[in-house]
Amino acid sequence: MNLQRIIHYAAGAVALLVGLPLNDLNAEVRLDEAEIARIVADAPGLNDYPAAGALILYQGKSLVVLPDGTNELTEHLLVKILQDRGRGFGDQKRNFDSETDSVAILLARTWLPDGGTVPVEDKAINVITPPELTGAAVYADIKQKVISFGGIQPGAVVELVTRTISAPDSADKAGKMLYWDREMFRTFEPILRKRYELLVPADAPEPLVVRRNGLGKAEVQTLDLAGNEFRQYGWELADVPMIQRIPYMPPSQSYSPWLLVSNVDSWENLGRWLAARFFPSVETGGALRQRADSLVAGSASLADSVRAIALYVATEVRNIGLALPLTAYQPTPAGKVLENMYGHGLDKAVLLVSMLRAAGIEAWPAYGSGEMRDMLEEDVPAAAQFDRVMVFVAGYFTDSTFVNPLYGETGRHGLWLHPTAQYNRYGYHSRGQGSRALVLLESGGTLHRLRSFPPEKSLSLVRAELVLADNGDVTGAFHAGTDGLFDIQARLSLKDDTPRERQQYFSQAANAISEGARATGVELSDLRDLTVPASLDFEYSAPGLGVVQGEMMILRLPAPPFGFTGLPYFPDLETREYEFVGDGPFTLVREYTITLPEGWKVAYMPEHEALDCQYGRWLVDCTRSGRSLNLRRSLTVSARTVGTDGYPEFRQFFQGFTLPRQTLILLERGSTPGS
Amino acid sequence: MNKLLSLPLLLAAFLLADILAPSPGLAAQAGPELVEKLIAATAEKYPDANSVIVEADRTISYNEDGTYLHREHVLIKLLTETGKKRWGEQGHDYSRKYNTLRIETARVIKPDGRVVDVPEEMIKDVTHPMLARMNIFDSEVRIQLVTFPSLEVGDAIEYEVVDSCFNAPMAGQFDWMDLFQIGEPIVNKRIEITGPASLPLHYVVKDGEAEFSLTTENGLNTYVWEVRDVPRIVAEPAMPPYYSFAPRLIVSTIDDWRQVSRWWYEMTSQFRTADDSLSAVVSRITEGLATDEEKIKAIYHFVAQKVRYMGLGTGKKAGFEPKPASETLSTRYGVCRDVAVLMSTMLDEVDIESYVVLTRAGELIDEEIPIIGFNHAIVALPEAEGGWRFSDPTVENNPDLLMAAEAGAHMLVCTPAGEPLVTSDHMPAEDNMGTISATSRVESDGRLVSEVTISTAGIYDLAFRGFIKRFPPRQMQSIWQQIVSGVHPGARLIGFSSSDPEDLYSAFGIKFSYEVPDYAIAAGDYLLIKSPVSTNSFELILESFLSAAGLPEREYPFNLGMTLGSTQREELALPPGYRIKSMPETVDLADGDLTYRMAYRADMPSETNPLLTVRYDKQFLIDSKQLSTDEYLQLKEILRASSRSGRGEIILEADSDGGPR
Repeated sequence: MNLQRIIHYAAGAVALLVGLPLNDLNAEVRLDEAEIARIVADAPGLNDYPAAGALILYQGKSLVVLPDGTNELTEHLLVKILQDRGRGFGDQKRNFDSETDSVAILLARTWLPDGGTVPVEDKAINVITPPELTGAAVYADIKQKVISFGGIQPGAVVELVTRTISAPDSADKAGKMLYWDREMFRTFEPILRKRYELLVPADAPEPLVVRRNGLGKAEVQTLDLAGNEFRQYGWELADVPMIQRIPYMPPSQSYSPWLLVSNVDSWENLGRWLAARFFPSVETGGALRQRADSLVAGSASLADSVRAIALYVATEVRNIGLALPLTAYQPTPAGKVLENMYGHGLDKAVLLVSMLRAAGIEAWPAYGSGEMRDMLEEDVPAAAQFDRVMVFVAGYFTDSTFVNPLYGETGRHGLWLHPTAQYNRYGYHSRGQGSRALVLLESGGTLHRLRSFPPEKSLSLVRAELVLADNGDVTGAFHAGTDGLFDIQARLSLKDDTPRERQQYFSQAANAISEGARATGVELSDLRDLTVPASLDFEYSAPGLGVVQGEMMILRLPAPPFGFTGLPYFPDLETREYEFVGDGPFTLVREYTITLPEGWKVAYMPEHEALDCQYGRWLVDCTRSGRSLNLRRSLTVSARTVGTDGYPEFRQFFQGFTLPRQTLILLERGSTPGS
Repeated sequence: MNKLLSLPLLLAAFLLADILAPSPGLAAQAGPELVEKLIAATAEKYPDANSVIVEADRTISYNEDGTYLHREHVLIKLLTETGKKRWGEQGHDYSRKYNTLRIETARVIKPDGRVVDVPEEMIKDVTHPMLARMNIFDSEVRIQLVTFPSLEVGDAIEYEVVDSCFNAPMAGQFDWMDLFQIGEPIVNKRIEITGPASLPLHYVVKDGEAEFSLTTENGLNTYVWEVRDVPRIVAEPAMPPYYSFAPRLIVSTIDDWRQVSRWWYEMTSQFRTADDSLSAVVSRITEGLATDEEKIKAIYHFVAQKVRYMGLGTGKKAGFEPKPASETLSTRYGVCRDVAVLMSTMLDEVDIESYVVLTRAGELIDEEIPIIGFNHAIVALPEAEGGWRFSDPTVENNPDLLMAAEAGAHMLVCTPAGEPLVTSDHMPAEDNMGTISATSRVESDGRLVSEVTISTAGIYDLAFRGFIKRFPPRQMQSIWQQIVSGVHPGARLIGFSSSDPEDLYSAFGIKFSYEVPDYAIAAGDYLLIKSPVSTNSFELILESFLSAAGLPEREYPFNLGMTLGSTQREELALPPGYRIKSMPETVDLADGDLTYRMAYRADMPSETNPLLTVRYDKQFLIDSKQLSTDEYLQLKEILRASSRSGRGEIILEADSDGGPR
């Protein structure tokens, strides 16, 4: 597997350049000693960048695509530590695939504040398994070279030059070189200068390029080296400000300068390349066929059969967390995945397609993204734009929310299935709504858009009953129904818990209503059944929830004490530098029925309020009938993202619904309540 | 042997090997006795378990030099999806500096007894992820990860692992600790330890019981402990580590703690040498300082602030052996033992006596049996009147020599003569205190304007300094905007500043101001105002600890890890034209280590202050690092009172002379 880049080149397409002097090829990104010394000596300090932990003085990257498919990435990094917060740069990490890649440390030293240099000791260069990949050890040959710099202190400069050489993918038998790469030009510390170069054989086609957010055009030049011509594309930026982290940020591609390069000329060709890797692993015979048959036996309809197989793959076959690019887009044969009963997303997609096909159901893989909005750059086909694989099933499905991308014209409908979705209600996915996915056929692939779910698909509906006693004690109940993203949260919170663990959860939930409150009854739907929305009936007693202060009693209506029913996000900040990206549209409804005690009259109850705007609508309505108060609060957020200009209005919209006065009941001793 | 005879035997051996060797395609069958045990472990019998440890056998034989051979055989039935996830990948750690590890058996047993062996390619030997997460990059500390194939609920996994120690950390000594109760029920667990009678074991089973036998044969002692049908531990929030309360076995050949003290003193003292560079640094940072106390602080702050935490696990006794002090200084990195040795060496340069210390990072240790199960190293300075004061140079941003969590903890000071285990001094809650003071006013239009200061001591000081240093200023502004939003969704941060977190010689504090339009609630004939401070929105530390106190009662102690105190005050000037109808009740509770006081007091308008002003005062002290289950109930009593008063409001009504409505 080639970790750094996925680059493929037809054998013999271009003459091999064995022994090419690679240093010469990336001479421009690697600075010479005099220039390095000058940069270090002239480097600005904390006074110039008081908010920064470190300052990236220079970052040069050069990707050379050799004719034999080998690619070589040279990186030259110079970072000045400005504050203790920046000392993390003292440990540099380079991931590589131990099967196909090598990482050479060409230079590693610390420039001390007094101008002296300290080289990194040999023992301070270690190869480890990246801790985040431990759970996928069975798959990964991924290693991490850690270079630990000495003398790290404010004022010191870390300098590292590395070269990663990645051998061509021997599994690729396609007849054409494919490569792609994505580079960000902004990060969480300021950058003084950044340069990225791509070098390809001069006779190779022009790469397709997308530049965004202020990145200029490439400088292009032809280099004649050792009798072989290379075309060099160089992009450079200077004085790039640091990214300021704030909650609910959009993906950095939406506001940072970045670059995507690829030589894949069409999505169809990319689809063909992916299909050549995917479909050979699809198997429909033997044990897999038997398992599929047993799962669909007794199914009354095509929809039943699909559901039985999809739920089996999603819930019974253990998920292994491995990012899609780390799979080299090469799944394990489906029969082996079934035998192992575990797999990463791509493996499980192969298994799902195979089992569906074994049961006679048409199914195809679909490569997509989990971003909360469509970030796909259509002009530059590249697998780097995908991070997940779904499965599309054609056919008539009355409960489908998607138009069949393959048979859209005919009116047939289909389903998108997530083979790793263990906590989603069947057929629902929270991420990637509205984004485009590449549906693979054996012969290629085409892009299709996943439909966005409407706000009503993500529902938190809670009905609450409270009986308030004269001393403020409350007995009450919450009846919670969820769907969409609330349903996912419910399953994440409770699906895997044992009875004792759930009991603890609900004891603590009662305590969140008020200290001393107790859960007196809990009925929870079967969260393992992904076909039924998560729901809950919860009864409690809360001594002293109503606070008696002399002649007055204050009752703050308790919010449902289950995290999964609450607001999925709240726009705290007054203004924003970047747009607001929440977890998607939703609907939240609260209906309270409060029975008041004898001898108290209502001094205050929430007034009718409502707001309707471009971001959604909300309503608060409280009515009184004898000793009962009925309060309804509902909020529908239809916005998926909110721009910086509209954000203050969005915030105000949200605030309006969450004001404390909307859940306050004030009683006063007196004659009949309601009088 | 007759060659003619041996050939057929050899052929037969090959043939048999072929027949007996497990083949991935040909499932073997588990024995009926084993299958019977697995069948008995049902989800019905263990409704609250995700898996059941059906068998756990550990046999260890140790030698005079402290090396040992350890064999572990475990059989686990998986009852739920969670159990399947939990055991689907099983890790066995070791260090190439000390032992070799071999997985002898790893297989899945299906409910019908069919066996699926784990193929070799599903056993991976990788570096230990936990170390890398701690910024320790040691490729010799490894874990062998076994991925079990074909796993389904109802299956069992079985493994047998042999771990051979060839380099005892403490030469000539053997020690071990094992739990008899864990997070899954145990049907049967047996530990057998064999060793030379000339090097007998000291042993104890704490907080539980186990069947025990001791036999001696051929100069070898064999000790056996066995437990059956042990229920699982259901984890509770903020519970202490299992090894501090679960039934456990502690064994050791070490006679007393002094032996361990001498051992580590000897190991570390060779690395406690200064070169010219180190001497020069010490001269520079202590220049002009008159007293030992000043020099100690200067050296401590230098080491804690200037040497970053990073380890490479070098040396023959990696994990115990420090780097030479001068090397730690020149590279400016090290782990706890490295910086402890560096600080001691620097103190040597100014003739201040000090020793390195082994600890378990703030915990108490089972004193009965000395073992080398430490995980942290610090520095001890002898007190003139006897006893020790301690200093932890691993902890950044701490004005005090020792972090609050390390108070009241066991310490083993390592000296040439050897020392017994001692306990560091208790740190009272008042020394770990956050003090929040606010001056606020609600204007006639209901708008709230407030200025807040937070002053810190102990853990509050350490936490806030680290917090402020961690984030760029603009991000800090947005964090505090979120914090003031806890008072009211419409709150707006006006300003925020802090004193210099790097200045460890001056008191630290935070100041901020905010406003909330329409803060007061016009409720019919009344105006409701809550003291913003009383919402606990600014009490970021104690409240976060108390968020783990959600259970009405507990089976295990409530572990705070340190004493804690909090004082909150607010002067809240109310809009003119109103009088107070009612205020929340005063609460005054004190019980053992817990103290809680909360009061509202109204100051009538006066010549100096023409506004009706409410003063809110609250103090909460928890003067114990850990609360027993009974003490926890007292805490809940206090929290109930606190919660009730916290839900109260200042209720105003218009003055009879016709104030604003």
